[in-house]
Amino acid sequence: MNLGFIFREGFSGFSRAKYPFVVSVVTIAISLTLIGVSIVMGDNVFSYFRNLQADFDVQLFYNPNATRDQQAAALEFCNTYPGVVYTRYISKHEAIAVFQEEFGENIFEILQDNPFPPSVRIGFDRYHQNTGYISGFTASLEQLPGVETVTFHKALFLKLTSILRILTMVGGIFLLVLFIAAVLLSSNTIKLIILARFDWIETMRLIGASDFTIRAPFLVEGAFQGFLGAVLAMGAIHGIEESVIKLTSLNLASRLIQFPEVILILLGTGIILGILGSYRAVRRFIYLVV
Amino acid sequence: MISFKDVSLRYDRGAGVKNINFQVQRGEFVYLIGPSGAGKSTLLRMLYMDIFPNTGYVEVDQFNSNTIKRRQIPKLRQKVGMIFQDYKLLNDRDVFQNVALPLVVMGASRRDIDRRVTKTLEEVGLTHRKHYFPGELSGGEQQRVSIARAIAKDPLVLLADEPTGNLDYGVAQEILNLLWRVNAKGTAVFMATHNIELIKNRPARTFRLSHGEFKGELLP
Ligand SMILES: Nc1ncnc2c1ncn2[C@@H]1O[C@H](COP(=O)(O)OP(=O)(O)OP(=O)(O)O)[C@@H](O)[C@H]1O
Ligand SMILES: [Mg+2]
Repeated sequence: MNLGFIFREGFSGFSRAKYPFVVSVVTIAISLTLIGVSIVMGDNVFSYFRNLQADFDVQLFYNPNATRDQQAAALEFCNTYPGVVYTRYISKHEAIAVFQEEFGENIFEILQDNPFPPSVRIGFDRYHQNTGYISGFTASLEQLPGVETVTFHKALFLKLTSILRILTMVGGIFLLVLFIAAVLLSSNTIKLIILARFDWIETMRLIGASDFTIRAPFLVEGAFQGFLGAVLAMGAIHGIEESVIKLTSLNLASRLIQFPEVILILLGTGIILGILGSYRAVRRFIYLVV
Repeated sequence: MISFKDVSLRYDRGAGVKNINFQVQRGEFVYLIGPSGAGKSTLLRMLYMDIFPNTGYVEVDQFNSNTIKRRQIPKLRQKVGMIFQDYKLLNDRDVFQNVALPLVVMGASRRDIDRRVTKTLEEVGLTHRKHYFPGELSGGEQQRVSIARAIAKDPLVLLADEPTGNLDYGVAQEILNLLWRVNAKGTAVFMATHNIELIKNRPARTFRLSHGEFKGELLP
């Protein structure tokens, strides 16, 4: 098959039907912008909740009479437990500072005594952040000598976990719907392009061109539109991010147009979107035209 | 090479053709005449398998209308050249590219395409119009471009549906002469027309069609 011909016909499609071409590119650009902005928004909301969840770590309180060795053994147990990403020892002294920072009172001055036992904050990596696993950990930790109690805000943790799960699901469905809508929209404009090339299709049929030769240029044209749409969308998303930062002085934790892989994914999504749109239009519609 | 066997075709609204039987051999020149609406275009469309008979079958070379698969139709059309009253040229490319189109689609090499298009343009006398666009040509020249496009791939048969319908008498005569030159090089020509005056000067085997029925054939 003559690939050169298919690409030449595909890329020259622009000059044959300018208006539908531009409409299709803009459609794809708007859809990709929506998709991109939703990803940025979703990701920022997601990381907000994720950070919140990290605040509800496990905290181990030592028995006030625990020996140095007992404390060290318990700390070592935590540090070597699979999934633990950090431990932070908070001495009696530090505990007073933490309390003062959070409540603005110096408890030592009020009570003339330090009521806080030394403690350890323990964080898990995201693969081990499930309540069953963490509960197992706290149960064995509580058995160790010198350990008074281990706190774990299970209910809150669970709530946050389910919020994160729902966010992921709703976001995913929303993106899928956007994607499908974009394919449908662009396939309708491709139909206009096919109509505009009625004579070309008829002639190609008569001279013995295969179905593939007739259809492939439209797929090439769709891919080209998707590419241009993605480039436009990246400009738009970048602009939107910039102005959000400027206007709200909000610190976006995650931004889209930052990593080369995100740029490649957007370009790829655009191209796939363009091809799917054309494919849908071309599959049946070409038969109906001629 | 071409044969119609008990072919009938009815369009949805009626009309069509009934009980057609005939054969055309390699290298023959055959006219198909009959008044408007007789079914001439219908027969030609069945030959390039754009439409299919309801009963009977059409055979072109090794292709049979009853057994041909959709994806084989392009193969058939690469062996059958077609020209029409309205030329069906692509207006966005020049004469050379129009004539090259079937060769490009068949995947011929660039050298091959150059050689064959140049030779064919010479045969139809359009070498000097090579880089003109269809819109810059007269009707007679456009029809010669479409003939060049049809014969560039060296078809077994050239199907011509009213090829002179839009042309003045003198120009029509030139086109007919050109078709005879094409035939002299070995390509069969099957030409539908209702211009009986025109073909009188170039007699050949002639099928008569009326109201969708075969009314016998005249020999030269
Ligand atoms: N697509 C179609 N649908 C329904 N009827 C059709 C169709 N094409 C042709 N017909 C009918 O079939 C009959 C034969 O038509 P056809 O086009 O074969 O005639 P023709 O001999 O080529 O006429 P002309 O000399 O005017 O070109 C006519 O009565 C016509 O109205
Ligand atoms: Mg006709």
